[in-house]
Amino acid sequence: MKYLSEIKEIVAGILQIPVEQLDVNANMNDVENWDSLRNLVILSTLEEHFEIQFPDDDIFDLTNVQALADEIEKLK
Amino acid sequence: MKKRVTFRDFEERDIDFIHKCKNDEKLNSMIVGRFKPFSYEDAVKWVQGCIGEHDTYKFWAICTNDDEQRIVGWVSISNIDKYNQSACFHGIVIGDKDYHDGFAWIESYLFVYQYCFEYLGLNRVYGESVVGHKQSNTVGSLFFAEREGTKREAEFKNGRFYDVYMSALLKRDYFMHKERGDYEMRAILKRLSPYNK
Repeated sequence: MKYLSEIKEIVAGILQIPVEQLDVNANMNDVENWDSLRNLVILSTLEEHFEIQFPDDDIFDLTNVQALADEIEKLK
Repeated sequence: MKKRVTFRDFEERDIDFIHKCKNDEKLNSMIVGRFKPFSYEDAVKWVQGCIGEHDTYKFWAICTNDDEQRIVGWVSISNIDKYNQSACFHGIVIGDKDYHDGFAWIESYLFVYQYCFEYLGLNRVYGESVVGHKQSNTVGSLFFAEREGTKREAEFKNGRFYDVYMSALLKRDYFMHKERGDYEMRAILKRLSPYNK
């Protein structure tokens, strides 16, 4: 997967946790520091970083790293 | 962007949810106000007190945006003062974890500001947040409310004292930013990006 490790780095940076601690399939509610504010920061940061816009129909479902990576892959 | 949640008056069917949330110590750990065990009878009285129109306060159930309109949290205003045209943004609680993605939280703020400034015609909406509760502390800059001061050691929680920020949004600032599109969800998301700091 082309962007997965890059996304992981960005998300772990925002959550301020070691990247190896971030399970790509874990739902945000099960990941340390992934609260509502940081979730919005993650979405906005990834949109700017990859110069994309998550579709309205999908944005509420992007609550783990794998889902974010799949969506970004689709949009690039 | 489509809406994540809607808002409605409280109903009797919300009692179980309120009973569960009011007894969730973690959920209450950084909200202004004292945590104490909440009986089912307390929940019944609390919900009944929220239902309907009141002179000085108003509560809404935050609900799923579908036909079921299942409660996921609540939002309220208090101290509605018609002479001074002000109200206190009493608080938001999102009790359903599936709605902790931030969108329900943002939409609740927008809903309350719209109700206060556009429906009630108030001039000032103020609020307090426990210092250290990052979401609440960030709201000021996100919605252009001005921080007006800090009440030192004003809240005793989790075995220690916390400072409390006071902030307020004025009607003229609300309408200026609304006119500019600053309260559109996409604009709010952009302001949260570190690329725009």
